[in-house]
Amino acid sequence: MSSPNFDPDEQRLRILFQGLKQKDARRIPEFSAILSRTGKQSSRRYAGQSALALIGSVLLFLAAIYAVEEYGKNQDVTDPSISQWQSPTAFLLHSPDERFLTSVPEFGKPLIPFTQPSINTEAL
Amino acid sequence: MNLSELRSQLGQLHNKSFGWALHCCSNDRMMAEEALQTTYLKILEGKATFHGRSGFRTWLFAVIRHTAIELYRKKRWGLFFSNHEEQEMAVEAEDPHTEFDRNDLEELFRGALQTLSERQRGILHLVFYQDMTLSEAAAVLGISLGSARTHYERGKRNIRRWMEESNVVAELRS
Repeated sequence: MSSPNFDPDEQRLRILFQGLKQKDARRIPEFSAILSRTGKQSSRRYAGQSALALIGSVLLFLAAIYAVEEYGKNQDVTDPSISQWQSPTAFLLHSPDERFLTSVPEFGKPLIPFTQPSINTEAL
Repeated sequence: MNLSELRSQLGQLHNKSFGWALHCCSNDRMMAEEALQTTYLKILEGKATFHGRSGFRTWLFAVIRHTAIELYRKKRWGLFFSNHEEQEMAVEAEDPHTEFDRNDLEELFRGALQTLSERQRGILHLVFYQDMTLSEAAAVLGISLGSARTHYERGKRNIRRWMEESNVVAELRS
């Protein structure tokens, strides 16, 4: 843009843009009209935002009530079932020798109770 | 700057602002009015504040540009609700002034501008339509002066090519 007045391309561009400017000038709305619409838009936007906030808070309130009720219902129903519930695979945790894990060995008592084999003397 | 000073400045720049808004809204008059209206609202409500770091017009044009981008984004996401007032404006917009005449040199030129990149188009508009300096134009578009110069030269080169191909030079001479 060093010498805009001597560059023929820039001169032509200026003429073309001038043409656009003149054409656009016919479409310019009044400043006061835009400003008056601004006031309407402002109040409309404020009203819209207030309505949205109101609807949002009502929905939130209803959701909170629903959640509290659901929570209360679930509490009543689940409490007994939790205490009675058993895992379907609990039996896998049991083994025949699990008593060794839960009891302490004592002196004089065998770990494994010895049972005397019965001898059939008559057969001898 | 107080409210009445702001109003007076906006009023003085209104015609130029509308030209820029039209450019930012791809020559869509309705949208340009909407962009301008929203910009004025932002400024008068204090949501966009002028701090004096650049010229008032540079700052105002940057606000208009951002507002137009926001409007496009809203439109894309379907948040641009139509209402009665806008419908009335749509009817009003269908006046003979806005009708396209493809044979018209200005409209051909407008079409040629549309083939440029957004920045090339913006720089050329700000320099030749708004009579801004390159540094002011760079500030409006939020780019460096060097980058603005590059877009300016490329834009000019592309328009020169269009002028040669479409024989506009001869038409301008006549």
